[in-house]
Amino acid sequence: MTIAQSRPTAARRGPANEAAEAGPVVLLVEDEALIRWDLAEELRQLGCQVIEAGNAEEAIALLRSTARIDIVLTDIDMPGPHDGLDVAQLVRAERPGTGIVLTSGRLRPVGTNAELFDLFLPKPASTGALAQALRDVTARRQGG
Amino acid sequence: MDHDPAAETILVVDGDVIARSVIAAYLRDCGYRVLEAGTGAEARAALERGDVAIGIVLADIALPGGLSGFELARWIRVHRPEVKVLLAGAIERAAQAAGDLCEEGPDLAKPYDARLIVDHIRRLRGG
Repeated sequence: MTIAQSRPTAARRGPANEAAEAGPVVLLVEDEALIRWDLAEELRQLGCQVIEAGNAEEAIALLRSTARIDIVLTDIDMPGPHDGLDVAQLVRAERPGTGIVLTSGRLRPVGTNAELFDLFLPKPASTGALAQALRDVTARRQGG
Repeated sequence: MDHDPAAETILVVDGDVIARSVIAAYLRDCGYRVLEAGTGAEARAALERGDVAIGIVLADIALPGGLSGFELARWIRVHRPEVKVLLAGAIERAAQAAGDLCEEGPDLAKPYDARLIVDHIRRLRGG
């Protein structure tokens, strides 16, 4: 059952909500709260429905319990026993077909298995770069 | 309580990401802008932002990281006395609070069932 189906039937459906439901469902994984909130807001403005995780453990719990996730946008370096690469690995293993965008404030990690992700997005990313990344990863997913 | 969801930002604070995510999604769907925090520290960071005016905090009592919901409520009373705090000790209470907030919005006139939210959270948790 998706989150959408859980809403009581009387829930309000406005134009913004309909647009959001039509856009991709993005799982956003970012441990720095201020960055996470800004990114989530940008993604929603771009028409995405956003599910937020503050670390890899939360991301994994959401990945295992949420029916629809189209794209995972995850920071690489996060505190705790697991990082963004672990999240990517789990997505590839358990949710094939889900797009993966890795993000980092540092340089793109050399030696990372290229099959583990679809796109690398350097931080900070402009809204234009974010929108382009969403288009690119969606195209890749649909291209098979 | 008389408020317009379009003008209101709600801060949902819960260490249980599934409960937090479901309740936040429900509140967004009925028109609220929602910020999510997983710890008391994140909640304080949200409340200290100058660019977002949080009107309501819906917080679990037990929070990870050593700051309980009660301590957060106390901090809010001192530093943000205008913010309304709803404390929930269980997902049933949190779901009820979320439902009440949506029902009091101008667009939601029909009855809802908070048990739907609770059941959904339980199912997602595998319980």
